[in-house]
Amino acid sequence: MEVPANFSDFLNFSPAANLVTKIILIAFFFLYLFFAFLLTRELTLMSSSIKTPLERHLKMLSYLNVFLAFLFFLAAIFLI
Amino acid sequence: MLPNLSSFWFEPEGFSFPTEEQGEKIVLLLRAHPVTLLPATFFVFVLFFLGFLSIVLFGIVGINLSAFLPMREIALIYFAYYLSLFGYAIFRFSLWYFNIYLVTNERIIDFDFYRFLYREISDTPLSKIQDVSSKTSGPIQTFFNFGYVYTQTAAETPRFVFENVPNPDRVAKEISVQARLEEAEPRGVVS
Repeated sequence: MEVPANFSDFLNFSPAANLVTKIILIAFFFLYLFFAFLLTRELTLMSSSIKTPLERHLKMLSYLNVFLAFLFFLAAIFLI
Repeated sequence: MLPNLSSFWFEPEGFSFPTEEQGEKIVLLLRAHPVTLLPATFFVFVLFFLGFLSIVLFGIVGINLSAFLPMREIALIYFAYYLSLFGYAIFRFSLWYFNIYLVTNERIIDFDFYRFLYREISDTPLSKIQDVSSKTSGPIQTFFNFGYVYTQTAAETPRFVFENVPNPDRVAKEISVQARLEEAEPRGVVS
């Protein structure tokens, strides 16, 4: 295997570097999805404790958060 | 119509809680003063603009990101960055919004959501309240008129603390008034 001359070359051309980026992005997706689901659950619990006028909007935002996390995953799969 | 995000609200509309008794009425709804949200808001705004600025900053420093990573991966990293920021903003706002103190005509209730997955709801009847005091300290609390209200009770939870609530003196007075009204009622009457 050819040894890259410098770090920039390594990042640019090494398949290993691409694999690392992929792993980091996919790992981020799973971590973030976990957080997004927890946030949704937390908001459900909060609003079961006290009914507020804004709870529907906040829940919608948390669903949007989960949706964006899936969108990120799709983008990661198709773009990388 | 914009929702009411007031942190000091007499007889609020649209609020209820599962343990509410028939005839029980919310007299006062309190949250931490909006000023307490400023550091988190500032943090989110700085990070938001830093994301855009980073492209310029990298250019100034002479780092060409596209030489290191393909453009699509850079786009994904920015997507991840803004997604995290969005999640954090919702989380912080929800914590502030749901951290509520209620004074009803029967009791005081403290809904605590301090951090992720931590929930504590405690209440005490007005008849068990022994002493109410308020505290404002420091220039920021004095300037924006917010502080702490301490309620000493003879119930299971010996001390209730309303943290960073606006008009602490008025809150303390209102709790005392409600406690006196409750004391004057015959036992077991909810009104």
